[in-house]
Amino acid sequence: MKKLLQIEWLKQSSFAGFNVLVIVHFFLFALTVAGVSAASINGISLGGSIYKFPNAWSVVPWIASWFNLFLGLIAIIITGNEFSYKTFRQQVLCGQSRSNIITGKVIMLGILSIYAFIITFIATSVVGLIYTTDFDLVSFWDGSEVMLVYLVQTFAYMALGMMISTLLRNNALSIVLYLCYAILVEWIFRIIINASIANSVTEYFPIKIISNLTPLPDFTNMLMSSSGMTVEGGASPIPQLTDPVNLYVTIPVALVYIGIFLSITYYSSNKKNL
Amino acid sequence: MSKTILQCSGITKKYGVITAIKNLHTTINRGEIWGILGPNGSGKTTTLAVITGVINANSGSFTWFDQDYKPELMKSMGILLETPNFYPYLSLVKNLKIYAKIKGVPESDIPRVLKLVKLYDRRKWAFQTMSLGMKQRLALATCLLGDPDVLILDEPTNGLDPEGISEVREIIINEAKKGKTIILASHILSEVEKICTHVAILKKGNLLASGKVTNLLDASPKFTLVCKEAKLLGIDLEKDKLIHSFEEIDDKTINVTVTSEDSIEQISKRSYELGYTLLKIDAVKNDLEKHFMEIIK
Repeated sequence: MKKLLQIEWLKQSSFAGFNVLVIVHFFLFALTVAGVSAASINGISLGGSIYKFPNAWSVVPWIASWFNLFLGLIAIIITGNEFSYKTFRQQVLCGQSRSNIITGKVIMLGILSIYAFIITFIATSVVGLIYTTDFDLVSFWDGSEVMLVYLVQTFAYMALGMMISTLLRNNALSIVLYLCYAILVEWIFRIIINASIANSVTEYFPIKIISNLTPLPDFTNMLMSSSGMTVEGGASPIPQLTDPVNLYVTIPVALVYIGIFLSITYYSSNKKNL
Repeated sequence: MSKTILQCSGITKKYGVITAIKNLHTTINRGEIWGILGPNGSGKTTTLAVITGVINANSGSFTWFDQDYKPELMKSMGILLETPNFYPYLSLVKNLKIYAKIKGVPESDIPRVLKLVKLYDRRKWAFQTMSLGMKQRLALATCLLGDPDVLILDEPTNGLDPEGISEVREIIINEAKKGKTIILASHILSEVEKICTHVAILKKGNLLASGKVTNLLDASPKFTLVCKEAKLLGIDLEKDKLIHSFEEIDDKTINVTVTSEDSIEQISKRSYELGYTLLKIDAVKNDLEKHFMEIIK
């Protein structure tokens, strides 16, 4: 495990593409979080409303999830490079098993997930501490469990990217397919299927399930409660991260998808000629 | 320690309707230096790719050191297959560090192999800035990491200038002198003849001939016969089954292939009986190139 990580680190630490993408990811995320805090709607400061604890735990990971596709691109590139440089083949010739090469990548994706988790956790903590006036340790941790869900989500996007890259073995094609599927293709399928079959089927599509791990926060409720207004029907001013029943379904299904993506990746890399 | 290094049993590899290797059986023993010969598309690289585990065969099996293939076995070999494959953005040393780690070879061996292929002074260069010849040397350096007992080299002199070819040949000869087992695929027949103890000749996936180089060369001695109406003499000798085949060089000269060197006395006698006057009989030096061309005809 340690050896696989050392090998993977040797490959990626000097790869400009990897370093640039990670840095761009970091700055885009940081600038977006900072930009949102400075914005206001009808005179109500967005930061003061949505970045208070516990709201921050649902909003910042949701913002961070916009950039998960970016991490997926990193997964595609670091996997696809092994095929385009034919170094996957060379490693096999040097005695590395195909499964170990993929395991090295999985470890790297795990580290990238932890990196995303850490920067999101720090960003959430910082904006929460800035905008929460009546701060205490209990309210700090309230709702923070969504961070673990975010960790699963980042890994899921990267596992999908790695699977596509292993199947196509071409970075450009993989990136196009990955973005098209994540942004457009599945959405179109969902519309078509929703129109003909029961709605619930489409709720279990991969991107739908993975993106549902960090659902759209209840901004209306957050802004209204912040400005002292109440919601008709007496709904809780504190946003729900997601329907608890859904979360119990969404997380296991997402984990199953991760399992499928990884299984296909291992199977394909073991079966195909190099 | 097992005597048998590699044993192939009925390996067949197909790409769609094209059969790249047909039912290949062969055994390579410790210390032998095999040359794999064949024209382009004969299946040399595919054969090496199958036995090194990068391509899956459709049928058949092979063992290394009397064990079924497993990736770990490749750690004790040095393999250069087709083009050199490295991370273009990494320096030579960093590239070698990756492969040394995979092979379980200490990093302290890296300077030794870089010096051996004369790339030590350029060890900090990025792979992508190097010429094809330098890349090929680096690939050879990777093979030599850890001083493996078995070397598999597919066209190791590809892209090298004459000086580089000579240096690489010297490295291979030195490795051979250490008693290593070497499998060398090459287009350069003189190279194979100089280095190899054994040879396998492939054509369209078929193993046409294999064995010791000396046996193959001695198998079919050739003579040049000069006389008037040489072609007619060739036809008559062939009819009498005194020669295996003949090749017309010009009106007065034919090259005849015989089964043994002793046949020449019978040929001389029979030619006289048939009324031909032999003006000259010369033994033709039978080098590997001529033999190879004859076999793959």
